[in-house]
Amino acid sequence: MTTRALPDDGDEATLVNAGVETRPLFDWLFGVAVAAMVAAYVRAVFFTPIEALQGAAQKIYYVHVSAALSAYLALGVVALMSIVYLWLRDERADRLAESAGEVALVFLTAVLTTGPLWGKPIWGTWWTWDARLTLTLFLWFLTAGYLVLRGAVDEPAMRARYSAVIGILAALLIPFIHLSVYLFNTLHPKPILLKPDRPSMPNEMVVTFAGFFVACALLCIALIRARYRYGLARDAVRAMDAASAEDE
Amino acid sequence: MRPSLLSTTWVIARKDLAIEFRTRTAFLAVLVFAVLGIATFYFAWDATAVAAIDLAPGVLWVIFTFSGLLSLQRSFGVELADRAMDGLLLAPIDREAIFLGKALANLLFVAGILIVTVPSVALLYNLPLGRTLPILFAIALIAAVGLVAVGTLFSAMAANTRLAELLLPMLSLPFFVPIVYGAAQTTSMLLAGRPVAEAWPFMKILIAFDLVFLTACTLTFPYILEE
Amino acid sequence: MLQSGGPPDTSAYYHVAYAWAAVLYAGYSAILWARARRLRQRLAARARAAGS
Repeated sequence: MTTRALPDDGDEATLVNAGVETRPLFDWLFGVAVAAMVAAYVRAVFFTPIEALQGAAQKIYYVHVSAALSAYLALGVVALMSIVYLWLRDERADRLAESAGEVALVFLTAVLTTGPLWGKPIWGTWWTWDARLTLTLFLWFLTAGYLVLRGAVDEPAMRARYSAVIGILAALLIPFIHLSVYLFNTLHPKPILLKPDRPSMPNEMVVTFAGFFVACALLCIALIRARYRYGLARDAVRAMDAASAEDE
Repeated sequence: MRPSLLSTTWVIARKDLAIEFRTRTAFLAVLVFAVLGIATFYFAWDATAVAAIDLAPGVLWVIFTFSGLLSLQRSFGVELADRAMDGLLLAPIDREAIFLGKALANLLFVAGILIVTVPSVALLYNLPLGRTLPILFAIALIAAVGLVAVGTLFSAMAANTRLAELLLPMLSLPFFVPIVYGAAQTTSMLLAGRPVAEAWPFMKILIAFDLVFLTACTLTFPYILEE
Repeated sequence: MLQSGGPPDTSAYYHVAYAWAAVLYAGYSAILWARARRLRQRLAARARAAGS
């Protein structure tokens, strides 16, 4: 297993000697993901036609939905790793959950900010309590709470246990939020909104969207991996700190 | 032989309530907060724009939520002093019983608050008492079960962290939303005289939430306590 | 991009949205990189201190 430190103070030897594995955070996977995102952007911007009814703002759809799906992917990892941690007590599961949680927050933020930017020109309103946006808002709060909880517990085992419990309970909550929003939308009269039905997309748009989704998902995975490696190094340093504190 | 779950639960609940009512400070403080809150909403209300019967459910459930949070804050503080929790953990009782006991104590505490709060809302907002009070109490109690289940678990967690007072509301409020939503919709529908069948979907959310989270929180509580 | 008097001109929203998403993703990557760098510097400082 090679250890390659990113050139910084140039002193690779000290890092290797320190015994900390320093695999680069941003490696080939990240490079591929970035290239894919650039390609997706270029295709969406220059090679995809403007939609007839909604104008250029419809293109926000590609960014918005890709980000949402990637966020759900990351949150699925959090929920799954929470269960795995409580079952196996493997700290790697906890670290992966932590990484996925942080990345999920980034993508959720993207969804919540691009959504209104799409909603304003299309629906005439910055915000609407429709199913997806409301659920995303809740996911944002839950994820932020998850990360704040992690920041507030110092002891690693306790932190991992607490986070895992929250992760599982939050996953249980999602269906209830979804159901509440569904009822809210079907049983309450909506204000008259200019909401075009989702037209069946012409092939070019489908391809653009698929490409965007793949690129976004790749970026999500690459970022989780990078964050995981950072977490690995940070935990190693903390362990060293604790060990040397005991020695003194 | 280990005492039964039910009897342990009751013993712990009684202990908590006994400690609580020795001083009664917390109960009175939450009570004052609740009534003050109801009054504050009144001043924020334009009576010509919104009818009392439309505003009242909202007021009730918001006050319910925040006074519920306040009640929960103090529940684990009780054991923090003198590491009394260690004594509990050493006793040969199910950890789930500790949770259920504390949750029951919290439920009774919240019920006590509701006994004052619900009539206050009805009085101050001129709701027809005879018709509405039973409905409001029933829904409030069902909602309180869910609130207390989630809140007891989270206050146990929060008590062990650096940001306890901030963390409890931050973690709990997203979980309270289905409760508040179900309760508020049911309340406003029933108060408006709509048939029960229409309000039933919202009641179902409430009851389902209670069942799911009471179970889930009881089962995950031991993981919070582990040493 | 030519638009013949048809759909409304909503390009401003779309530019902002795309630019902002890029800023978010790039920004987070940069923050991650910066955190890793700080960690490495701490490590190097500690190793130097131990060595001397």
